[in-house]
Amino acid sequence: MAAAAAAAGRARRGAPVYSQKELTSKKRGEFEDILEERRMSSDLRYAMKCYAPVIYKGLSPCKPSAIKSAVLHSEQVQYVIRQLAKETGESSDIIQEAAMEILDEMGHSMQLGAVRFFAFTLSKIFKRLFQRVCVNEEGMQRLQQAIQEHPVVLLPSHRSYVDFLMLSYLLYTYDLALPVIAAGIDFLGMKIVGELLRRAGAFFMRRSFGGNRLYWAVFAEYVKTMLRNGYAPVEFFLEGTRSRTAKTLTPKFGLLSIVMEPFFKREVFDTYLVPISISYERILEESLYAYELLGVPKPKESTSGLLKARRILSDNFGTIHIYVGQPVSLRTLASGRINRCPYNLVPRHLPQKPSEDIQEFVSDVAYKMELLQIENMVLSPWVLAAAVLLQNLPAMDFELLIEKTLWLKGLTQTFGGFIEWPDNLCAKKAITSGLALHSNVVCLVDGHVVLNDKGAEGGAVGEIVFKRALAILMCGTYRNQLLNVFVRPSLVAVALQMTRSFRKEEVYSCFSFLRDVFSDEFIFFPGISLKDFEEGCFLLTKCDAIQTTQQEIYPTDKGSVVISFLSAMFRPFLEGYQLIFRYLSKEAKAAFTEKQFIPGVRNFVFQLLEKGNTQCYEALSSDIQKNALAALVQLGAVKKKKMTNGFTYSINQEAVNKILDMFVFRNQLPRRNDTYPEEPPPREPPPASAAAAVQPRRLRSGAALCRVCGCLGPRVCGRCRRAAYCGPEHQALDWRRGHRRTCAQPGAADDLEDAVPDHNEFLFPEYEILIEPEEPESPADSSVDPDDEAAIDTSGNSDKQEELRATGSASEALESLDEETLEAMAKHETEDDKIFQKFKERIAAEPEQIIRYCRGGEGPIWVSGENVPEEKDIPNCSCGAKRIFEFQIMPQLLNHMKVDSLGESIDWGTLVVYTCANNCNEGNQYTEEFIWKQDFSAGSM
Amino acid sequence: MHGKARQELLKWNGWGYNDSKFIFNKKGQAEFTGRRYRLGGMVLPTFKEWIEKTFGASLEHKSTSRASLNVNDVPPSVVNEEFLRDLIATKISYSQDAEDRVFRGHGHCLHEIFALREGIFRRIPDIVVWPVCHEDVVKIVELACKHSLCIIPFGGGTSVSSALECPEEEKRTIVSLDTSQMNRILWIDEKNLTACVEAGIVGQDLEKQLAESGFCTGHEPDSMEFSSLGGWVATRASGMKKNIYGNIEDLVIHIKMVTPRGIVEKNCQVPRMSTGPDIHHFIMGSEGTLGVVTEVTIKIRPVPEYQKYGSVVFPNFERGVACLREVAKQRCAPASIRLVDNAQFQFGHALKPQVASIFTSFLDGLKKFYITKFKGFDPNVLCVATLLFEGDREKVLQHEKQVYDIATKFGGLAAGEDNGQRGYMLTFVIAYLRDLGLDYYIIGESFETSVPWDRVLDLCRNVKERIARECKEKGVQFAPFSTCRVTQTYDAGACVYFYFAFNYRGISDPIHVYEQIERAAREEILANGGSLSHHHGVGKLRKRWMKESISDVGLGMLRSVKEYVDPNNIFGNKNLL
Repeated sequence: MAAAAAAAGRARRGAPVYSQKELTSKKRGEFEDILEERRMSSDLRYAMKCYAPVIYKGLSPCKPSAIKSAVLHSEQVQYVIRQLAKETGESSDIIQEAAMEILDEMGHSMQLGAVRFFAFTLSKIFKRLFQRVCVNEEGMQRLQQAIQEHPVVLLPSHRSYVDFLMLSYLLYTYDLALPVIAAGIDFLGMKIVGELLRRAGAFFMRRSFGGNRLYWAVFAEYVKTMLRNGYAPVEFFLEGTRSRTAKTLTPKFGLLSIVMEPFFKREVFDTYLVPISISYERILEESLYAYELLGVPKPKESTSGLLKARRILSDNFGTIHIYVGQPVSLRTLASGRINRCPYNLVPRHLPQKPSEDIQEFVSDVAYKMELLQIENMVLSPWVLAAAVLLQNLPAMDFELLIEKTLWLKGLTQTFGGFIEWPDNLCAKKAITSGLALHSNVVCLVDGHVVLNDKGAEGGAVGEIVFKRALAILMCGTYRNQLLNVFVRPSLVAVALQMTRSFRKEEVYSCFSFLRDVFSDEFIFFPGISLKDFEEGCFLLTKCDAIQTTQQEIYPTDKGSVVISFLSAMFRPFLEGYQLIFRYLSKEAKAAFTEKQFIPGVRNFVFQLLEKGNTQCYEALSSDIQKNALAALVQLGAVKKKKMTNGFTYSINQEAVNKILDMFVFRNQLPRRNDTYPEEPPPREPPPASAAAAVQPRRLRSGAALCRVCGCLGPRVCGRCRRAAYCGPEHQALDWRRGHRRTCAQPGAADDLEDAVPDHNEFLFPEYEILIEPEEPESPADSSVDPDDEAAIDTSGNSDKQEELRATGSASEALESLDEETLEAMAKHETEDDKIFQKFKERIAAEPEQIIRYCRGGEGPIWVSGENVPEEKDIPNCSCGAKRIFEFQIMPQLLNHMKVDSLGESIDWGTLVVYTCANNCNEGNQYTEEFIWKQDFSAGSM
Repeated sequence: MHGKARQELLKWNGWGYNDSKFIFNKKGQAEFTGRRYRLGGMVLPTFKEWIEKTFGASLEHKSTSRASLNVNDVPPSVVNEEFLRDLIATKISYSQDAEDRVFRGHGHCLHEIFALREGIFRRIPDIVVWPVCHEDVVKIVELACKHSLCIIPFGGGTSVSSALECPEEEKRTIVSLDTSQMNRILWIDEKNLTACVEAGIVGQDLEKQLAESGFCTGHEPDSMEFSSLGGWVATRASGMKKNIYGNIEDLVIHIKMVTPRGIVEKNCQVPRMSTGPDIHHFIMGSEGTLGVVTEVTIKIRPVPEYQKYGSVVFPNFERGVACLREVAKQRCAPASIRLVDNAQFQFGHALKPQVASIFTSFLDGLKKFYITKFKGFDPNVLCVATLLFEGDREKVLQHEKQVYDIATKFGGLAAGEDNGQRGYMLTFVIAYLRDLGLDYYIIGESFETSVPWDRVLDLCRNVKERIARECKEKGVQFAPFSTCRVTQTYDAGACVYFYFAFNYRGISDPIHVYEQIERAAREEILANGGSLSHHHGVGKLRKRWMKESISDVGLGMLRSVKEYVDPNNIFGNKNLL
């Protein structure tokens, strides 16, 4: 099925732009520190050096004013002006005026003086801020070559304002033509700096101008004129804005399709797209970003803001790595993909909406470029350490951190991650220096690394949560740099855990679901789910975490460490999305705007964090929140509608619940474990002759199992040496029950094997558990608020149907009795009665439910007011994290298990299970959790 | 006028007359043999250096053709006895001779010439027939229908679209219907200025014979020495002087064509009629798939009183194109106006003969100084337009002035008559050059397209660049020679003609590589908004792009005509559709 889907996908897309990337670790060129020379020679001389960059085809440079006039008088712009004049009745002179204004607002006015000024000051500033600025020389040479061959588009990653200053500085240093940069118009707010930037070659675009045809025409023509004539490389950011999370943002297509158009129209022979990866060891804006993600508004760009930023000049921001990637020929990408007809049938100066296959192609190229950026992002030791640390909060032994970081280094390299280990430092030194550089995020206390959430201890609960979230988000920024390298194998790992199946097809469908859900969170090339899955499997196989056959995937014994690490790495996203989806399914209004959504979900998560019902601090990040909402829109569970004042969302509750269900109820025990067989039980019922022998007598390993209970049976009957038992009690029991009669008869040897009937007084009957979301009750039926916790019901195997029906009617009888009693009691209602009544009402919709599951959500429903645990009664997990409610077992289970004789068999009102909020993982074994037993109070019975 | 055994006059394995070819003489200098062309018997001293520099070729490395046709390689003639008996009864002359059949089994595509020189043909005609009049053709088509044969009409044999190649899988007897003996002018109508001519007449014969009565058609395709009137009609030909006389579709008044369904023609000979879609347009460009054109009534004009060549040099190709566009805009194009790019200008320069008389180059002496130093033209960038004016003397001079005035506005500089004349002469001899190249591991071909004015420059640049890039990718060791000229101007666009050649030493399958590159170049043309062909036609070489060119429905329309006219595919050369 999966294969068929992939084949269809290929048919739709034609020849794919994306070929599975070279997975063997490839050699990437050496880095050169460009600041080194700056530290040794005069900055002034450097700024005044002879600067004569090579340009495209030996063209003589063109004055900015000439470009502006060429744009204004181009057929393209003139056409739109005439068109608008005709439609609005405005005189075309006035519109021309407006176009000129736009051009003046937008256009760059590159001047060598300003460039030199920048070269000088930036030298000073960069030397203060950064230890090193490392550039791959080979990439610069390739770029120099490319600039002479075809028009070049620079596509850097965007993490900081430093990005484009740095890139221009770099090109100046290497004597290359300074790029013209599409920068957000907010910069113009910065008076002096804006003007300086403009003179250094930046041109400015409004953030949104979809509706303004004149602006679009002028802007597009401006960019294309720059490109067509090859005066200078055009630079812009595919991500559209700085990524606040250091995770690559999904690409924007507008500018990319503008720069591709001259090629589509064959006004240029080819265009080079150059992916550039800029990695910061420490991001200048890191704390600003964290505040912003938590909803503290972003300061508007202003010169005074920048001056204040001078404070940071005294700080150390480590090393920057700039990797200039291989120029990618647009022509090569497009070969065989583009239907040329549409461009041939309309004059080239007319504005034309790109056809569907062009749009698809642009999107493919955008994703490809981002994947190339990701591939060459440099990962520092600190990035690895942050990833380890976040799985071991709140504190981690330093030595252990080093050990695990080294382990992760190996894994990262296997996955093709690009690690630069500084100066071959030993691990300890490298990590110590990483900790020192990020002392605002973490610190070393008594040989333990802890998050630096200063001031968190004393404050109110809310403040503690906020501070902690801040620290975790900042730390997460660094871990995030790994995610796109890890996402394919990790989602396979998560899928393996979620499905508890070895069947490739099932794991794949889960993987594919996760990939869809996270399509805005991580970067996936569109439409190649199967390829991504195969790549994930391949990488997991490469690090010996799994073995695969044609149809199956098995985790290996040693692989469980990798699998659980990988899934833990992505757990904040799984849990975060779960929380957000739950908010949407439960708390949010049927229709809302984004402005309402973000604070709403933030409050929801905040409260859960305050109560300790979740440990997922990252769910507070507005980035995750927006992405989760976008995912639901993409999956069709939420409808997005454009209104006059932005977008409005409306929820399809049922669809959200369905998606939510895909997330819950997974078992954390790895596939290969000491308790369960790896294979799922066979689907078909066993043949009739063996019907009695429901219990396997032996494990595949050969270990015998107890004849009575089916547990491991190391003891054997002393006489026949065949019957195995778990211990003397069951041996004695079986003896009494009949083994003494068969033991001595050698002829009965065969049926000895199945001597224990499938249902004896020691074994509970078996059922299949059906899981359903709880239907919200209509208000008319009940006073309880509608809500959608997962409620669990039982239904028997086919051979058990009869019995179940009997039980069913029995409980109905009990119910009616109860109602009478309750009515009688209503006259003197106690607190306890109310609680029990509520309990009853709640389960009335599905009276046979045996388990209610709602991890971290609304707590259990109690059967009585007595013996309700307080927070201090629930002990913390061994890892130190809080335990939170996961599920409760209902008393109805006693019925189904036929242990409901009052006073004789075991009994409970409800059993409430609390589990580690951090979901800590000890690898290949069960972790001890906490259960709280509450009985029916005497009064309610 | 040619006899039936054309191979006695024409090369069996190359272009043109047996006696005319480029050679390297004992001194190692290039020379053009024969007396037919003005270049004949002249030594071209700079040509060797040019060829070595441009292609990295060396006279040491020769790749020679086989000396003569190996008759044993030729597929046997398979002809049904009954048909032969019927054919003999008609008294139409025929031949089953191997040389006759091979000669009519190919056109002049590179791979065809290559196959003659060192390869084999898998399928050629089984029999050649020479009808001498329309009635003969009717009889042959009837016989073909009766005996279920396949007819491939053959005119001048100058096709460059694989149109004459026999489909390999054709099991029926293939009859090559050679029209060369139907070459009479049936009548000349001086009142209406029309002439009715049998379709087999070759271009130069037609002009010669009309000239005897003081007329001409003015239709002069570069192949006019060998190509036939019927061939022009069948491929929608275009002539050099179309600006005055028009292309074939403007010249033709009446066509008679024999099809398996019968004869198709109009009932009168009028300049224009509104009677539904013009049936001439089903015939013109049908490339021998519907029937045989037997008689054509064509417009004639009095021979012009005065002819004058001219040339203009431009600082660069962009300016030159802009000038041509302006000339077209003002609708004052002379009989012919062509713009060659710098590479082609240099190429022409390399063909300058030693005897300087009429071939003095404008780059010599003072003129050279004036152009390069005074005017600042870069000899490696400049380009040249060649012009041909025709008409009565006064008007020609007036016309000339108008064109030169426009040229001046675009930085053009008049460069003399001689250069113009040499330019046009070269187009006739340039076809001989490929045979020389083939002797030295150089293969090449020309191809053409038509394109809107605003895309001319982009198309020329991109196609050349594409060729260079493809050559590099395909492992061609030496940079290819690719050059173009704007060879016709129209109101809405231009016709662009490319030459492309490269040195194939070190490549095991040069023809395959060549075809891949040519295909890439065609893709590039289409992507740049150019047409599949301006006048060479589609044949089998460019069939793959027909659907893209004229849409599914368009193709269906043509197919349904074919199905009606020739349901049994008697005219089974498989061209076009």
